[in-house]
Parts: sequence; C-alpha cells; structure tokens
Amino acid sequence: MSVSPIDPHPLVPRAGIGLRAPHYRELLETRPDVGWLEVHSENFFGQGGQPLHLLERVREHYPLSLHGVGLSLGSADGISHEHLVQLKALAQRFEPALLSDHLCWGAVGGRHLNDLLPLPYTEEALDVVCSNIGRAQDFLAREILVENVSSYLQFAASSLDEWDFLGEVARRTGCGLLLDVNNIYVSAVNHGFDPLRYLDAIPAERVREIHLAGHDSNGLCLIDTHGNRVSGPVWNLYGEALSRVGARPTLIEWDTDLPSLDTLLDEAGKAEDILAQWRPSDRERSATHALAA
Amino acid sequence: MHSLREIQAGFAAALFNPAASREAPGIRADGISPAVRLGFYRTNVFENYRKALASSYPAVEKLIGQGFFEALAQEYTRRFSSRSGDVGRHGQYFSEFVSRHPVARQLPYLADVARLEWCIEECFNAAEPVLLSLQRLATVPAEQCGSLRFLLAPSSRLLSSRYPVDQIWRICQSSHASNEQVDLDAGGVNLLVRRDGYAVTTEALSTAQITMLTALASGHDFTEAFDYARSIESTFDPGAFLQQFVVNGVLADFTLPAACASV
Repeated sequence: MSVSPIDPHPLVPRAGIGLRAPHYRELLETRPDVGWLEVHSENFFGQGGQPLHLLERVREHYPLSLHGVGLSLGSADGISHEHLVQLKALAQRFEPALLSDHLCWGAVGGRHLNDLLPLPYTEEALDVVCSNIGRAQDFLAREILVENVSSYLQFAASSLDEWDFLGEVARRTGCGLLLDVNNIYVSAVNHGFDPLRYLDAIPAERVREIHLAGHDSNGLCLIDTHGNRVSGPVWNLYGEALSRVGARPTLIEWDTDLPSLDTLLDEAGKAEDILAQWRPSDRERSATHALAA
Repeated sequence: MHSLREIQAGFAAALFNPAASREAPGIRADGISPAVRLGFYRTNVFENYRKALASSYPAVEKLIGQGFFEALAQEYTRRFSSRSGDVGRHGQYFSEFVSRHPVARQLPYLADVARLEWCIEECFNAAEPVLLSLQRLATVPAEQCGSLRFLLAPSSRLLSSRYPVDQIWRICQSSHASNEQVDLDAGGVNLLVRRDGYAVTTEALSTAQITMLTALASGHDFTEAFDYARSIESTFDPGAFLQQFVVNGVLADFTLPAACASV
C-alpha cells in the first residue's frame, strides 16, 4: 500500500461549514470569514454546468474539503471502480485539503441503498474495510479520512468495540480519521456506552477533522438528522474531544430544513470560540502567561 | 456465524421487504425489537430516495401531489433498485416506470413530463459543449458537404410527445399562476432541450427539424438526414437548418468519412 506523504494538518484548525446549493450565491456575494468549506462529492459528479462552475468560484476564495457519502467502504463486494474514477477526477480538479467518506456500507450485490449503514465489528469486516480503504487510497494516490457514523442497531456478531475497530482501521491503512462528535453522542445514547471511553480510545494523531451537527429523537432512538443546531451535550463532548486531540478543523453540518447562511455561520462562530482555547498558539500563550504569573 | 456478505444481503432484503425482517441476521434487540430498529433505517432510506426523486421530478410531484408522489417513489425504488453510490442517478428509469404504472391511464402525459424533467437534469449536468468551428466547416468542399456527420452537443436532448408537455411543465413552475389551463387535445410537441449558459431551456421544433436532428444524432450523414426531413416537409431548407443549429451550439462537431478526410 502506498500513500503519498501529505501535510498532516493541511487545513488551519478553524471552523468551516457544509456548503449546500441554496447558499452558493449568498456565500459568493458576501464572502463571509469562515475557515473552510465542505461539499458532498457526489453532488459534483456531473460532467459540467453550473454546480461545477460555482464550486470553482468558491474554491478560488476558500479551502475545500470533499466529503463522500457513496463509496461504501464497508461493502463485502468491494468498492465501485466507476465511483473512484469520478472521485479522482473531482479531486484532481479541485485539489481539496481533505477528502473523506464513512465507516459504513451502502451497497450489496450491485444494489445501492444510498445510506450510511452500520457494520458488524468483526475481524472479517475489519479486513474488508481495510482492503477497501487501501484500494481507495492507492487509486486516489492520497490519504482519505474515515468518519464514524450514527447507528440505530448493533450486530450480535460484533466482537470489537466501534472505537477499537476505528483505531485499528487507521493504524492498518494509514488513513486519517474524521471524528463526528454528534455521531459518537447519538450512538452512545442509543447503545448505552460512555462517549468519553470512545474519545479516550481514538488515536489523536490520526484525527484530521471533526464534524458537529444536530440530531433528533423519534421517541425510541436519537436519529442523526443534521436538521437543527448542535445540542448542549454535543458541545460539551466537543470540548472533551479537543482536550484529547487538540484543535482540529471543525465542520458544522446541516442537511435537512436548511437554515439561513447566517445561522450556519453563527454555529461555526461557537465552534471557533471553543477551538480558540485549544489552538497551539493560544495554548502556548496561556502556558507563558502561567509561567509569568 | 454469518459472513459480512450474508449480513449485508439479509439487511438489504429486509429493508425492502418488511415481511423478510427475520432474514436480517444477528441484529441485537437491546430493548427495541430488531424489526423496529430496521424500520428506522427503512424510514431513512425511503426518505432519501423520495427527496432525490422529488429533486429530479418537481413537476411530476406537483401534478400528482406530495402524498401520491411519495407512494410512487417507494414503489419505483422497490422495483428499480439504485445502481450508483450517487443517489442523484436513481431517477434514471422513473419515466419508464411511470409509463407502465396504472397512473398513466388517468394522466397519460405524466410519463412524458418525467422524460422532459430527466432531459433537463441531464442537460444541466452535461459536459461543456465545444463550439463547432465555422472556419473548419467553411473549408469543406461543397461536393463533400452531404457526407458530413454531425455530433450533437452533450448538453442537448430531443423529445417528442403527443401532449403539450412543455406547457404542462411550465405551469408547474412555482412562479406561474396556477389557474392557467392547458388544452391536452391541442396536439403534440417536438422539443429541443438544451443548456444555454448555465440555464436549461426548451424550444419547440418542427417535425422536419426534429427528424433531421434525430437522424444526425443517430449517425446518418447530412444528405441522408436531409432526405428524411424533406420527406416530411418538401420545402425544408438545409441551409437555414445548419445556420440555426450551428449558431445555437446544438451541432457541436462534425466529421467527414475517411475517403473525404483530406480536409
């Protein structure tokens, strides 16, 4: 497996927002001070036209992260060559600072389910996921980040905890990790584990990016809807995550009931305030300050 | 112990067929039954597909209403499984599905509205058209012009319907007043759908024009295509045709057969 060496932290550890089609024009017209932007890779798989044109204009002004939802890194069948080809073309065109997908599966027997479905955490699944990630990284000739997903069920076959599975994936493949703090919280509530145990087990040096989003409840389970503001407990857990891994580029994700751009920027501002406490320069300053006192 | 593939195949089967929930191997209950847990995913998956289809087919949704559209989207998704990790491709066979669905008996134009919307979607995301070089075209000797073969721009589509689908589509756009009437017996329409800049437009073509463009698109040379057009409209003017569709970028490139390729 050959992964080309890259800058381990290519983005400054600032807050970014997930950019969705209704906000393109306003963003380009007002050019708000936001650290970086993330888009869904598959939304730009077309050959031409307005979406790619607008993304090119956005890319002139902001660092970019390409976030995929369709690679299906956990499929027993392997990953789609066609999908990789499209992703590579997009990555070559936009030179994103980060490129990511999820620790999940979404296709079997040629049928795609187009969702982030949970894996059984078994040795077999570990081999499959690592082999698929290896193939993706070889083909794309770059590091990819892998994100933990929210889940609403667990498999009896699982012999590993999700956090150990994820850490092992990073160790074996050299991939980076995209730590979704909301997903950790949602799964912790749904499955009754301590989210701090999850954070303690994550290899800090592999974490390249953090996601924050809102969730909802259907009465029985928390559901990862990306449809409202980041909840209080998730902000607290975010602080816990930063205290373990340090300041990392942090994204505000919002997909359903998309609010105004200002609301997204407001959430990003909250993340910036927490990030400021953990930026190396800020920490050094407070260390100097403590010595002088 | 089930293999990963067995677990995934069982999960997918149970997702699309609630009666097969027991086929999904090894889901832990932990206070909520496995069937209910699978139901959470079923809800999400069908909602994803409904949203993707509604985004591709807003006029169809407007014509039949959100509730019926949701039911139609579910039925389509069960019959035509998604074949791509890009959910935006899921609607590819929707017009075919609609044309064979009982709803087509009540709304015979619905499948053609769906076809039009997929053409619009394809044009919107198609590769940038390469403009045909008029200079190069001018160097083709007159006696070889009949052998020219033209390629249509990737951002253009041709569509014929027995119904005025462009009018139906237009009144479905939210900016239009909803009390506008379309006379379904007003006759059919031949449409050119193409991207102009970044916007997709539709324009009506004569039967001779669409016949000629269709013939060219399927690989006939200029003379053969012209013969088809002239059989429909005896006064068809090939010069005017060439002028119109080169200028609007629909005829994007041309080749000469090898024997004439000295140009």
